[in-house]
Amino acid sequence: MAEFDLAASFIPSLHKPASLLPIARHRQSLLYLIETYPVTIVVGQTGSGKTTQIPQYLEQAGWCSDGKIIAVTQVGPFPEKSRVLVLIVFSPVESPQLLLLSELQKSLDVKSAKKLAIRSGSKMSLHLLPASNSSLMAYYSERLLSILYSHGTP
Amino acid sequence: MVDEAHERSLSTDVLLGVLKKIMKRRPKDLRIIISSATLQAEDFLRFFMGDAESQPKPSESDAMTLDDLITGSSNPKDNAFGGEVGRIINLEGRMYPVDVLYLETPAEDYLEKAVQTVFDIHTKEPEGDILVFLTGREEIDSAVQAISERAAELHPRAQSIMPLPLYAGLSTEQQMYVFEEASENTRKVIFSTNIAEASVTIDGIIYVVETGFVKLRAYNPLTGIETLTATPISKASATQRAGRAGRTKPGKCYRLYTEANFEALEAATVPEIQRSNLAPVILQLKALGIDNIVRFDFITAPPAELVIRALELLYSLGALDDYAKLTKPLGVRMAELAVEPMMAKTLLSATSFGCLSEILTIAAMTSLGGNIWFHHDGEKKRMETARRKFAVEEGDHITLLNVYQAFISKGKKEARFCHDNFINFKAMTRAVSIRAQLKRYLERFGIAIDETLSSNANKTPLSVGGLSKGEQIRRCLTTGFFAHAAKMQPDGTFRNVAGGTVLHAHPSSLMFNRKADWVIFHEVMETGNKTFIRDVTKIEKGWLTEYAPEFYKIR
Repeated sequence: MAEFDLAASFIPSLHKPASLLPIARHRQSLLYLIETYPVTIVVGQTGSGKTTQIPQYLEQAGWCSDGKIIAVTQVGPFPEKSRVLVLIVFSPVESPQLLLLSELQKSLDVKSAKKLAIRSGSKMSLHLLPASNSSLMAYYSERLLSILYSHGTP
Repeated sequence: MVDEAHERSLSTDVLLGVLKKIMKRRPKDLRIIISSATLQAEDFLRFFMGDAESQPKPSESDAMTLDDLITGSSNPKDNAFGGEVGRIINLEGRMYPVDVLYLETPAEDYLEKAVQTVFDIHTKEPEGDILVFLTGREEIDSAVQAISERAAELHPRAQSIMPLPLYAGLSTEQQMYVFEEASENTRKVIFSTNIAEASVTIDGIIYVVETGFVKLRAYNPLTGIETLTATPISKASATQRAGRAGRTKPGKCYRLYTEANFEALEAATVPEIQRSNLAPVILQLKALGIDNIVRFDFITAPPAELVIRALELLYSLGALDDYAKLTKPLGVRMAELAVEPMMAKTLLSATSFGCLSEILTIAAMTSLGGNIWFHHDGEKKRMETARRKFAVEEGDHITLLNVYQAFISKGKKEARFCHDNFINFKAMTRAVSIRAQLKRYLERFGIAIDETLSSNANKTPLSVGGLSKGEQIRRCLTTGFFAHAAKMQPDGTFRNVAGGTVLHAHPSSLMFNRKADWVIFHEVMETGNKTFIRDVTKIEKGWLTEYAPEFYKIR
């Protein structure tokens, strides 16, 4: 039941500027591999920037256009607390998956979500609430991602 | 993107299986990214490649050493491995060499040895912070205290030492201390649970002290009891832990066991799916339309006993029919509710007992995991007294109901209420929000909720409206928790239905020092060598066969 509780989650030691993260050197090869192969395995420690940077690289490379979605499971450092999942959605406001997300979002602790986004140095905080545009960030457990995927979305 | 997949949590394994299924159907537009901090990358890729392509390669990750960690993916084999399906990319920066030191003879008390080793490092080794792996909160707290006490004996002009704890349950502020640089002329020593192994990275660690143990959950399909026990780590874990010393410059790892002990360790940690109660997972897979659990493509298959036990339980709960298909609407709804199957069943039976409002509260309160009471040092007695005010003869569940009721009618408005009654305000606020969430689920199913517990409806919050309501609640709890039944013995301990296991009422339970006959319990946990049951309520023996005839026939 603690599925949407973010209070105890954070991404540690990500205060470095994005360009200095170890991952920055790999941007091109990452995008190439993801474009070319169905599966890409990324080996890297917490702090290498994979969690925060890869979704942004993908967004900038156009992986969010045409109703495509990037979904990231977000594991808090404490396994006892349940896992949450960051889902960044760029699709028309009234699509069914988005409605599902907004419903779930009501149960989120928005304040800690913001903190998380700011600490991670990402621009995601801008997408935190379903404002006038069609972008939205919500938090999901792996369980809910399974459900979302097997129902044919995105 | 499946993050931190190396943790191999139950949900990660399920998600990977589901993704593989979808990938076959949508090879063109679905892209899967799996991030892993450890050495299991090839296992993940091999899983997605399927059997045909990956056969000739034995699991090389098993034999991976620190040297492999240091060389990283410059190894050309990474480029060839993966076929048309995928590739591995290594983002690791340079790793520095780590000297691994073993004990000559095994340590008698690893906690004492760890504290001693920290002091040896502090007095003899050059600058650099220390990371110590312990198994849990109690160990960590006592180690932190031991360091603080012994630090007083240090030479006044010597470098000082700052012990810090790191475990789940610390506040965010407390967690952040471990990431801050220590003040000048101070050495930081962090005592951490397994979370510092891969999930959390702390800069500046040069020395790792490694006790060789981790607390792991394990579910016993025969007794139905889940335990949390200190277990020897795997070689992969030991390698990962040692690697934490080599992130900034060359470091040292002190293993508090012998080299022979290390050689005897398992290659990799057993994934959660092989040591968990699988009822929630199987319910979820069924809801996703995956009916044949045995043929589902798991990255690691769960043992048959776990699957059978889970199917048996789900059948007895009424979630599955004779053909192991999800029942409608009960099974489908149970899968959708975000609580474990036994509580889901209880919630969905509550309407017929006329106590849905009460069960909603109990479900929310039990999900807090026993954090309702809160006291400072030396106030334990007074807390016990305060707690007694809410206690009822029938047991813990209805007591929890009373606490919630009192909180809603008084505690939310008066700050003193929680303080005076030693109730954790934060936990109670969480219970309120969980309750609201569960209520929304039920409303979506079209289940009407007759609120008897709103702040103004009930003027006598410390009773539950007479005996019959109390009995209804206990009967309703039995419909979900019949598998968690036990009988009290003359010596005050309990035996579970199978008979083999001695259970003790948790000190936080009312049944700790009261008489009872048959009870059901919410949770069972093993601490040290005792098995405790928590959130315990009295029932009648006849209710078990009345509400779970199949289950009690099987046994």
